[in-house]
Amino acid sequence: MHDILPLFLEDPMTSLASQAKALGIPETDIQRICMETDCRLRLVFPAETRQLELIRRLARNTTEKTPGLDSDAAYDIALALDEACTNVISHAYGTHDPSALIEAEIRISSKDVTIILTDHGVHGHSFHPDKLPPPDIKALYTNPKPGGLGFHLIKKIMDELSYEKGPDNANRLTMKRYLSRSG
Amino acid sequence: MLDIRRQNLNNIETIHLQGILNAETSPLLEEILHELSKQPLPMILLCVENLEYISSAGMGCFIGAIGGIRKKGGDLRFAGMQPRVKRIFTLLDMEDFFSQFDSMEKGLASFSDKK
Repeated sequence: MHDILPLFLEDPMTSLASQAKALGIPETDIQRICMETDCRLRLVFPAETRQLELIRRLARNTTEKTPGLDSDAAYDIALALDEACTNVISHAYGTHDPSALIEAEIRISSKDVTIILTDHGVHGHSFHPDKLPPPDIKALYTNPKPGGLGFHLIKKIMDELSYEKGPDNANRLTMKRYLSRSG
Repeated sequence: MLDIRRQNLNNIETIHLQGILNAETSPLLEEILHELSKQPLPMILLCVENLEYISSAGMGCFIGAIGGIRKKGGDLRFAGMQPRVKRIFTLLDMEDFFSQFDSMEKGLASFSDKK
C-alpha cells in the first residue's frame, strides 16, 4: 500500500505533461484537457479505543500526500477522524462488544478529502448532530465541564457534514474538507 | 502510547507526558489528576514537550480536573507545549484557558504566587 498510494496521488497533469512532451504534442492541446483523479482507501477495524492512534496515523499519512493540502490540514483531518471514531465507540456502540466494527472510507480527489464513517451501533440512531448546540466555551471558564468538544472540533475542521441512518442500525457520517477553503 | 512520569518539586506535582493523549490513554491521566485534585493546595505542572498529540478526550482530562483544583486555590499549568498540541487549544478557542510556559523552570517559578 505504501508504494501504491503516491502513484494514485501523483499530480495527473504533471504526468500528462511529461507524456505529451515525449510524444511531441503541443502544450496548447494539453491545456484543453481536463482530468481528475481520486484515491480511495477503505478500512474496517474493531470499534476499540486502542485502534484510534493507528487509524489516525494512517489517515494523516494518506491525506498528507494530497497535492494542495498542507500538513496542518492533514493533521486536522486525522484529528476529526479520531474524534468521530471516539464518538462511535463511546456513544453509538456504548458497551464493549468485541464484534463491533467501524468502516472508514477516505476519498481524496483534486477538490476535497471526504471521510465516510459507517457503524452499526444501536445508539447511533438517537444521535442528531443538527440538534447539537455548540459548546459554550466562555462558560467553561467559570464552570468547567468535560465532554461535548469532539463534534465541535469536527465541525471546525471539516467543511461539510452529513449524518444518515440506514437499515440494520447503520449510521453513516460523511465529512468533507475542501482543498481550497474560502476565507 | 502514553508515558507518565511524576516528580514532586517543592510541593509542585510535576507530570511529564510523552506520547499520545487520546480516548485510549486519557483515563490513566484522568485518574492521576483526580487524585491530585484532592490535595489541600493542588499545584500541578504538566510538562508536555514530548507529547505528540492530543484529542478532545485529552482536553477533557484537564477541563474535568481544573474546576476542583482552582476551587482550592491551586492550578494546573503547562510547560513546553509544542505547536501541534497547542493547535487543539486554538481550534477550540481555549488558548488562554490554562497558563502556558516555555520551559519547566518558568512553569515551576510561576507557582511562587501560590505559596
